Amino acid sequence: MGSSLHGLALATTGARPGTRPGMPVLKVEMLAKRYGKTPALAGIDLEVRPGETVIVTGPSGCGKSTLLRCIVRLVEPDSGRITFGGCDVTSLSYAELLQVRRRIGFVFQHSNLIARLSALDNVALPLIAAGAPPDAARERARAALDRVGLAGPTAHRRPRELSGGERQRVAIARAIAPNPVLMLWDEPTASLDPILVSEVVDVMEDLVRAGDTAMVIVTHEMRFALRAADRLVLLDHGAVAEQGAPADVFANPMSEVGRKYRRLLES
Amino acid sequence: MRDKVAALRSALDLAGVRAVERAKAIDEFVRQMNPAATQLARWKATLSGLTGRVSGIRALLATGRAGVVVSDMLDATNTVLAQMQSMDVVGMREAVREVSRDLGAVRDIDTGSIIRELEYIKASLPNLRDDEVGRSIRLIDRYIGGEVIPGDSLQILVDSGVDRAGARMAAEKRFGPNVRVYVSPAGVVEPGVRSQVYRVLHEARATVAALVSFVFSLLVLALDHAAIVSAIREFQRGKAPRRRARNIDAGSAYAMVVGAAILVPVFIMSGAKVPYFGTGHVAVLGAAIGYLVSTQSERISPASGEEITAGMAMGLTHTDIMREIVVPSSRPGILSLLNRRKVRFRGTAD
Repeated sequence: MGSSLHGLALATTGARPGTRPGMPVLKVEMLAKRYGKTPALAGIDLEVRPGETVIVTGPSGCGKSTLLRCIVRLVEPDSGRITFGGCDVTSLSYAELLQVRRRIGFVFQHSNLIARLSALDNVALPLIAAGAPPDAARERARAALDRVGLAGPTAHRRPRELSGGERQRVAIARAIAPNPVLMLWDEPTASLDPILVSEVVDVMEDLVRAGDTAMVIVTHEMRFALRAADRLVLLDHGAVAEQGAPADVFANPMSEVGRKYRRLLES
Repeated sequence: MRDKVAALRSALDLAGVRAVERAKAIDEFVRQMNPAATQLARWKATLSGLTGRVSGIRALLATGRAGVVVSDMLDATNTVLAQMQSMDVVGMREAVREVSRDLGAVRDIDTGSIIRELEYIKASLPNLRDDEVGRSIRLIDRYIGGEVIPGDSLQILVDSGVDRAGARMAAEKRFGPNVRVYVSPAGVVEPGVRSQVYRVLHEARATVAALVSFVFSLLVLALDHAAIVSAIREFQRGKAPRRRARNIDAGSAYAMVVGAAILVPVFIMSGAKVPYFGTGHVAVLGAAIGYLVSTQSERISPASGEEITAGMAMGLTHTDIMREIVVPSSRPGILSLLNRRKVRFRGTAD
């Protein structure tokens, strides 16, 4: 354990905390998880390099959300290994896990904002909890909100006073405010109507283009995947059906699920 | 006639001799019995005089009524002697010793200390008159009376064959020097009304205190801790359940421990008592209340799973999540009141 922490500390000496030159930001090996007798993940391998954007998709119930939640141990995996910034996440202590979670941004499907707090306080909360001075935290929170197009009076509204798209953009601002090494997106557009989807997708594309953060995005927005993803991973029944550059996967699908998505894209 | 007078004379002489002998016996008895010495001395003087009078009676024989008078006097003397002989000297001595012992006990009372204590109380209430001091002491006595009831008495009935002295010694040994023990023959059993009223009030107060403790603990658990139980369940949601604790999850275990930890001290501090109900039973009851609240925690004070999950994903500690997310959103209670001073975000924009 001490060596793991040492590795994490060494990693922080580089340009971005939690990264090592040439090393993957995230490496998932043989990850397995069952809910009762139902397998959710059946030995998944995944690797994400610094600045890389990986789109994960697949039919409902194939384990996409479980994969993301296992990475930050919101769900405890049954077996396998998750390496982030050189340390094994599955064997970290609680305090060490908190440090890892603060380096990973997580955007949920339903935004998961704190209802009693304003948008600004929602974004500042993880910064202050991580030890940032309140004034500096709020300044960074304003910058993050500005980055997703929510500057001005909107920042002082509570979640119930915002539209679905605005709520999701506040959630994105909250995830990017701590300047994470890795961002995990769990179907951020799934609960939005088509007009609001584009609002959020535009923000996501802007962040991808900035290219300073590795991203694992679970989504069914295949056109967005074609435009933004460095790599597409198709899951089926808790395992990786196939993966590769999105254009290659859709051009020559090797799996049944790949062929289904190709037909979907063509329709 | 002459013969009869001669016989009477000899009888009187004999009676005179007997009277003298009995006077000596009485004199001896009087010397032995100090408590009745005065009376006996008087009788001795009377009997001594009687001897002289008997001798003088000889001169009165001519009257013919002297014999009857002497006979009456002898009968009276015999009656007195019979009564004195029937006196229970040993019993009298024991009775005197009993009185002496009780007087000794009275003498042993440290009246000086009592007077000093009263003076101290009076000095501590310098602006009160004597009757006000008395009322104050009675007031104090009434409040203290919750635990120690002044004038309380306990009647122990024993079989008629039981040795009274032994029973008394056993009672004194059992209750110690602060309790006075009186032994009396069996009579009508009269319960002390004052002590009975005190006892009934005391028991009623203890029962009411027990009910209040119960309700208080239930409210604290429902208002303050139901949300925490819900949050603990959210914390545990992603973890594999432990086989040993399959029926009692972490939230229920927390509620049971907190229930016991709240009810026991509240029960003790409020002076609550329930017959046949010890501290262990109270702790079990508190745990049961906690378990009951834990089963309804999601209905009483649901915690937002989405908000808690977001807090966990952001790297907030459980304490931060409780302080910033769970408690401020829970029902108003003691915990949310205390939390207001610690919460960093008060729910208002800057």
